[in-house]
Amino acid sequence: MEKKILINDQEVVLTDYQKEASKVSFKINEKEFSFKIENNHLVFNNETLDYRIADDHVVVKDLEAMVSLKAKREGAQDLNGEMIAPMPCKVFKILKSVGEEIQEGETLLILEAMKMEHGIKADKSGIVKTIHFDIGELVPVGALLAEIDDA
Amino acid sequence: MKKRILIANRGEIAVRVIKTAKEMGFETVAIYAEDDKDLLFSKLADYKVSLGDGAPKDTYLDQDKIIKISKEYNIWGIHPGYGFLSENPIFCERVEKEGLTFIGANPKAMRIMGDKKESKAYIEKLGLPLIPGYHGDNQDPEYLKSEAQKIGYPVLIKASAGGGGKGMRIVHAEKDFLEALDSAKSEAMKSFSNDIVLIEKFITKPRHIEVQLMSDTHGNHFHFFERECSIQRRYQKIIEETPAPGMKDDLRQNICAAAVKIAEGVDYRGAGTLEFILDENNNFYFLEMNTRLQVEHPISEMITGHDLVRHQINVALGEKLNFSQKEITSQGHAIECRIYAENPDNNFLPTTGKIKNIGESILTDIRVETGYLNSNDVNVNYDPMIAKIVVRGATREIAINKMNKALNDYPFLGIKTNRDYLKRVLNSENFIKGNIDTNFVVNNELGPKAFSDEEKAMLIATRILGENKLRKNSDTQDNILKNSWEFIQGFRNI
Repeated sequence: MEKKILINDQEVVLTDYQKEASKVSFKINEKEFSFKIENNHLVFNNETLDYRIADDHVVVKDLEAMVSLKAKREGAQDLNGEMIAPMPCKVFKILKSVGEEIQEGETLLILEAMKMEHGIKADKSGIVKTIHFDIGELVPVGALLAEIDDA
Repeated sequence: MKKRILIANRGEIAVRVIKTAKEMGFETVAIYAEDDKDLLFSKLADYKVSLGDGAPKDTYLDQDKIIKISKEYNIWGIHPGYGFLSENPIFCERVEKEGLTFIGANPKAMRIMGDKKESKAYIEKLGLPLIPGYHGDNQDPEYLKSEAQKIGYPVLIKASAGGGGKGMRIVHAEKDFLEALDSAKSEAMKSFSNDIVLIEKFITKPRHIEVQLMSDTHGNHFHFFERECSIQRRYQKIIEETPAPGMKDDLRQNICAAAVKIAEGVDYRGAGTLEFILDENNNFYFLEMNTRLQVEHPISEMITGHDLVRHQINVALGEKLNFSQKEITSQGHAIECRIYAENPDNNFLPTTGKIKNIGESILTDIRVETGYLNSNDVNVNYDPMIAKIVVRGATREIAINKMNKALNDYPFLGIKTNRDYLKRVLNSENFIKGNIDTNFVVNNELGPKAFSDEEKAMLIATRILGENKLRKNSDTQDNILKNSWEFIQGFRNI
């Protein structure tokens, strides 16, 4: 069986995937790996590894990553060329209003998170079409903040 | 009746103060913003009082509320922690006028040191070294530009009332000066309601060295050696250590003596820190004085065995610090790593989420100071620092190895932190050799290591098979609190 997994949003393809009770085996790039769980430790190549896990957040040995069993990041979309929130934050200031002209590189709005300000600049010149958030509103990471129409 | 201390702060520093206050037989009162009601500090205190909802100005910075609660609860002393009201002379005077005790510095020292220009004039008067610069009143942009020219580029523009990198700009060439000045001034106005700036020579390989001080009200001023705090991002420290690697004894003595002299001159009271810049030729220059307890104070406690919060409280009680400078000795090497909720691989931008598992350790000589419990949310309203991990070892090498282990033991699962980045720093050749200055983070591009196929396989297998481990061990809120009590008891395992 083939299975796609995301490690820190990077896709990894597993082949010959087999899982039973506390054992799993698969191939990555034709290399075979098999693991089992014993006494709350991960056993691999006769080595006993300490690990911790909370949902997708995995720590094993001295490695740490977000490992998602979903092949695609939830809500992932092509955000190329749009202004998106780089972090969870609040809208601190909006410098332009809808219908106003804006030049590429000009600051459109300022976000604030944990006492730090972060300016969002226009990614192209044009007319501000929509601003999706108001001042003071909470913005989740990855949210589309505003759209600009070609002038 | 037991005397009561109110802690006018939140998070890990409130926890830290509560611990020593309890140890000394005081009752403690925590005040908290509604957002913080589930955090550890409010649960540890004997009494907790809500400050209501709202931004810091309506909660931890609301002097009226804090005084009113202090009166209602018959408080003896207010400990301000760091940040918030800790360096506010108006608040300090108000507390004292109300017949309460301020467990912190004296207003005179706060006033002089709280203003970058005034503090520099004072240091100049003492004959101690300052970085070449213009600290005058003339704020005309063209005039400031001519001063920058005199000092010689690169120069640093700094907000006079500033801190934490706000209102600060480095200018490498004359053509960029006016634009940088403009943005520094507007940021300063926004952050401090004051846009007066000063211009300084920018030192290319500066080390940030600071000295821990403690003064009583009987004319005794002591230092507790230096701390090396050069590993910073965005002018905020991420790793601190003591002793400073490679520092010769005579330089250490000179820098500590200069710090004590400065404290004497302002009749200093309580805990304070003198920050210096050390250049490549071992010249040190006064940077600023922080008139409060500092985030990184535990490393000084680790090597000297002194409890600085206990001294603060005793000084506030009017007691004499009953030891001599010679009796304060340093043993071994201590390192602190600050765990921030942020993504170092995305410009250190803040992250949020729920802390699901802080972790635990069997190491000795370790302190983990956090204001969070498993299942607490980290939100965007406050500083992203969620914990400090502090270790001590007989040598620097032992301390570094121990810190690597400690960082593995405390994964702070559930939220993206800078933990992995801290390990990259600790294991980098430059850090190990002590080649550090405040540009370390920018100059050492310590990106994430790509995983090998084997490492990918381990991560995936853990994700697939390890799923139930947390659920099996997952705690009810009561258990978490009970466990965190035990966890707290082990904090000051020095």
